[in-house]
Amino acid sequence: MANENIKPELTNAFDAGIRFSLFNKRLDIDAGYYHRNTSNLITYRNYPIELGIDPQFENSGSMSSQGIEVSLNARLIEKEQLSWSVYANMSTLTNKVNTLANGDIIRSMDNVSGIGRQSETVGSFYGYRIKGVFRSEDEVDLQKADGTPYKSGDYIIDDVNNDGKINELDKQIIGNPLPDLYGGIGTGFRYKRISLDANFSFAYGQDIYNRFNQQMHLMSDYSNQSPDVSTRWRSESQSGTGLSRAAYGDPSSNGVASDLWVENGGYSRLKFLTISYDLPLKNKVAFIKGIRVNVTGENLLTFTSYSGWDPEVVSSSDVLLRGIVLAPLLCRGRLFWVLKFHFKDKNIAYAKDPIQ
Amino acid sequence: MQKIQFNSNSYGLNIRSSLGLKAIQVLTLMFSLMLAGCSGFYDVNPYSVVKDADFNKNRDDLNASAMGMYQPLTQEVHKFLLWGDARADMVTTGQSEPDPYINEFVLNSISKQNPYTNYGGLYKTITRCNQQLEKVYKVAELDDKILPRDAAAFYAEALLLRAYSYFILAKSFEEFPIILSDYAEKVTYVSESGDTVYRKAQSLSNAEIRGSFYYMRNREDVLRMIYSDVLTGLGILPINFEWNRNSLPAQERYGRISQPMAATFAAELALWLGNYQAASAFANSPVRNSNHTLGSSGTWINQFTGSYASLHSLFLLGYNYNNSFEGNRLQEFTSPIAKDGGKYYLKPASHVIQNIFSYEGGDIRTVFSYKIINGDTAIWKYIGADNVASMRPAYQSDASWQFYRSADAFIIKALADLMLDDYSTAFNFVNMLRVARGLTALDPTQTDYRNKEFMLDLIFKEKARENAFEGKRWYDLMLWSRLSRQNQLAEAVAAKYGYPKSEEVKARLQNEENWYIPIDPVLW
Repeated sequence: MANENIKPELTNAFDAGIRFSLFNKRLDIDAGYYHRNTSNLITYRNYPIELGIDPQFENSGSMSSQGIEVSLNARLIEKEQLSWSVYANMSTLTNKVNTLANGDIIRSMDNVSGIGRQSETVGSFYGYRIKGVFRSEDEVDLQKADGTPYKSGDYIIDDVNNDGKINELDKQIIGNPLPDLYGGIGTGFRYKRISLDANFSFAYGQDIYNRFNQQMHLMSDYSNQSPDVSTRWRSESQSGTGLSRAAYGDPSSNGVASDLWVENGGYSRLKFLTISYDLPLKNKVAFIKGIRVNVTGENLLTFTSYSGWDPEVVSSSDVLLRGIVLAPLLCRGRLFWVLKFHFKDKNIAYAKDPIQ
Repeated sequence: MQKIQFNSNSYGLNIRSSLGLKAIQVLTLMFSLMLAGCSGFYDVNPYSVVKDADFNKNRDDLNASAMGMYQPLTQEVHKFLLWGDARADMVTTGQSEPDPYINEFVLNSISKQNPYTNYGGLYKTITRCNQQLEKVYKVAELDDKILPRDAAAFYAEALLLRAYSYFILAKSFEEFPIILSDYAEKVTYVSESGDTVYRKAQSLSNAEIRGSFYYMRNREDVLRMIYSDVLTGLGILPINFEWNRNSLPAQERYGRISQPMAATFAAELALWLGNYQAASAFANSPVRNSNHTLGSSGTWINQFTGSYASLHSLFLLGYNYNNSFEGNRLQEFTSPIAKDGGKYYLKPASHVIQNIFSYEGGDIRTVFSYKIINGDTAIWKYIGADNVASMRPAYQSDASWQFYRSADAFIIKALADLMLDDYSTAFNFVNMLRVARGLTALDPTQTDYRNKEFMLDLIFKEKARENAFEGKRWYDLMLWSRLSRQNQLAEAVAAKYGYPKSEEVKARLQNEENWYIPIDPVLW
């Protein structure tokens, strides 16, 4: 059954900004406010199950993003032999789903769910909040969905509706995959034949759902686990450091998606650092204008509290499943050199990559 | 697209200013190129999408749609096991710490939040049947190779499969809507001003769609509706119809609706509705059909170990693991072997082993239905590869799910004749089944076969052996209660639990309204 009424999404964008230069055009400043309101949001619609049809695309709901964008460009030194410039840009982002005609949209991937819900950030992580571990049988005051009690060593899950039972109704929003603030800072320095360029990028305020880390702490089968599981709950006297008991087949569903595996994804990173040198040439080689040697390092330094390997999470194409790490992807710190011949009428570059 | 337009216009203007009149021709050319470009920019007929209009044109299309009607059911058989057996007396959990949602079925305390209550798969089949019903005769007009008897067969197939899906719903769920047309295309409801309105589902909210659903408040009415659909289907389904004219592979012989299946279904419904004469008469057809027989004890296990059972089966859901990895979750649900993917959610209840299976020797069903693995009993039907100790390979869960087999028709015949006070026929049919499974015939001089209560007990015990762990027991207890006019279900199910749980369950199940699974379809 086709939806013949589907229309394109409409985005109304409002931008206001000022641009000015100071100190004899040495400093350019560009600052602005943006507000984007997207209506006719194309979403999947789940029909009542009795209709027996798969979800369908439809236009439903609206979403807004707003924030401030600032960029600076400073030419600190500008001389024939010596120049130095610094540039920076940053943006803030506040995203909110304004309306959703057919209620929440939940999408799951490998047990982790993202939700589109009115008044919340799109793609917020959706799961349970964990308050600790039942240290002993006496502490157990919650029941599983079937009414049987949890066991000591199970996670204490936040009982949202206070009915003493943990089930679907106790799921809540446990994280936000979009940054509040992001941007980059760079600099370019040149002295005679040597130049140095560097660029930092940063993003703060976003969370990462570290599903890989969770799998390394599931303790529900015989697969390899993190060494940390040695500090799991073992008994009343060895109640561990906050990890659940090990139980084959996970009978108490300690492996549900929970805030325990949501991490602060904020980071700053030296994206690249390049040093170049222009080789001095004698005029004998008539057709070559110049030769430049570059050494570039990528992702040399990262400052983050995130425990995984790369805080720049490769997002799923699905807007509801952002910021979820299923498997650890190696962040490639790379170093490579480039030899660049500058011909009188052509540019040919020879690059060798990577060294590391 | 707007951007393209702007660029070409401005380019055109530049040409005009420098080249004068000739530019008008160029401009026209540019403009026509631009228009031609639009259909290339937006793919008006994307090849990756099957459009409804390109489909449903010939016999093969109808056949493909028919296959699609069965497909959702193949994904639901583990639920059928929960709905029909985990709740009943023959099955309990094998896990020392049971999975909560499985355990709700075992404990008879099913909550609406339980994901296994989701009956969406049945409605997928119902929807596809409704779509098939609405298009069979339209497609038949387009393809002259579809003979009237072919069209009738396709129509009857959809009608009967829809009826079978509703029969499962009617026996299992507290409440469910009756949908008898393609609702996705056309929702019919009565507006506030009293007019009957037809709308596309797309234009209505989910609440409005739900508001238009029709519920039958009386379960007997639902059964009567199903019965009349089955009679209609039976009437128009050509006798000995072959779905595939060139050859008839086993999966089509047993996996699709057939005349003997329809007759067995009609007989079962007649029995439920108390129409015993009709039940007995309908059962004659599958009983006498030479393509389907009781078989022998030696071939009985083939219906589980082989992909398809010769002769025994009337209607089943088959799987083809080797070529296409089709499988079900029955191995996961019943196997105690963790490395094979077994979770051991369900195992035989111990009192069943003692009370229901016979130990007279020679009964293949006692040998094959369960085994002792790792010191505990396990359901063997879905994991065993023979009746000794060989098992299916890990994760190769492709045992057929049996809806009807020849033995069901014999048992229906026995029950119907018993209810008609034809005691000797009932007794003979029970004996035929016993002998075919390796037991000796009961001696009429030693058996109180004219005692209806005794015989009901005997026949349902025979049925329990025959259909053990096949998702039938709960419904058999319901039927037994109907035939004996007393609640057999409460007592039988309560016997599974220790005191005081047994008393609590018994008290609750004394009320027939508590026999049905609650569902909150909005959750799924």
